[in-house]
Amino acid sequence: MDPELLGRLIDRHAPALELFARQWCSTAEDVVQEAFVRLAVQEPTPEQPVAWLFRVVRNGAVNAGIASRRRKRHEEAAAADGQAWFQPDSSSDFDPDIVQASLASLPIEQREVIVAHLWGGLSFQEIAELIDSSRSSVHRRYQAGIVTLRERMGVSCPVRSNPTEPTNPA
Amino acid sequence: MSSSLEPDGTDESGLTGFERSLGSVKPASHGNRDRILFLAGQQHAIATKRPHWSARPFWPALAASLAIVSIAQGILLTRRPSPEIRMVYVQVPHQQQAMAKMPVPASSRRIAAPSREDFDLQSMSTLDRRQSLMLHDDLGAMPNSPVIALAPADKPLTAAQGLRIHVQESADLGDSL
Repeated sequence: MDPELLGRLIDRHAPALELFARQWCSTAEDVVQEAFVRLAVQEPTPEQPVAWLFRVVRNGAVNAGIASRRRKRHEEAAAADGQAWFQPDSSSDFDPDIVQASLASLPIEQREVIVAHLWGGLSFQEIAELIDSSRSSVHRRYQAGIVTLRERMGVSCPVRSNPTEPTNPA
Repeated sequence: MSSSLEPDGTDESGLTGFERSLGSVKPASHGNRDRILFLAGQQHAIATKRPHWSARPFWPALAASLAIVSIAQGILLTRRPSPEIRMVYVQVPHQQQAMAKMPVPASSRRIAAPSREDFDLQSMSTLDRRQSLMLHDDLGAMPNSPVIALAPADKPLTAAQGLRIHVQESADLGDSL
């Protein structure tokens, strides 16, 4: 793979991939690093490298989470790893800690869909292929998760606007 | 990249603004970009440097196959059955029968000893008679040694006893002739 393309992918998708991996394990950086290294030696190069990266990161994070839970012997190891999921940014509308706490309280099935769609920029079809589910099922999970997040974050009055693409497209 | 509309056309208006605000929170990255690029380049170099399995050297494969053959032969050698012991009895003919079957050479026939009737024993002296008998009967015509015949090993004969026995033997021989 072209090193420049690999560098662009790292710059653009590494934070979202780490957030995605952090839903299952506490060693998200290692999982993401391994995924990029595998992408560099992958022959032929995947047609959709972002979707490929999310799939590899998901598999690696699930395996790492299982191993981590075996080691630590408690169930909440993946969610309570102690590292901040988001950057402290005063320009955003929400407090990153509140977003993290609210997101961590969701079931993993809803969390992975929301993270992949909002921060990863994957379409619902791509997420459906990623988790071996149907597009409608993925969309239901996403909607349910967003409603729950809005309730827990105290956003009771939704702002009406046109349906758009995700904030962080690939 | 994609729309937030459901496949069945359900309206999801009212959530987009919330989604945008939520998506504006930037995820933290704790990874090292340079390290990822370094490892990716290293792995790529290793992967491209590694020859295809069919292009690997011939000699290691040959050495491995010969080692397998050697091990197999060693196993067969250790498990080989012990050699069978076979006893073969061969009947050897008696020596005299074998000698009788052997042809007598012509030279031996020419120098064969004359028969006993060929000698005129009465006209011969004692010495000549003894010589003639020895030619015919070989050593069987010789009298027994008086020392061997009469002298025990633990009691040797005196000179007088030996002489007396010899005279007696000579007289007996002369009487028999």
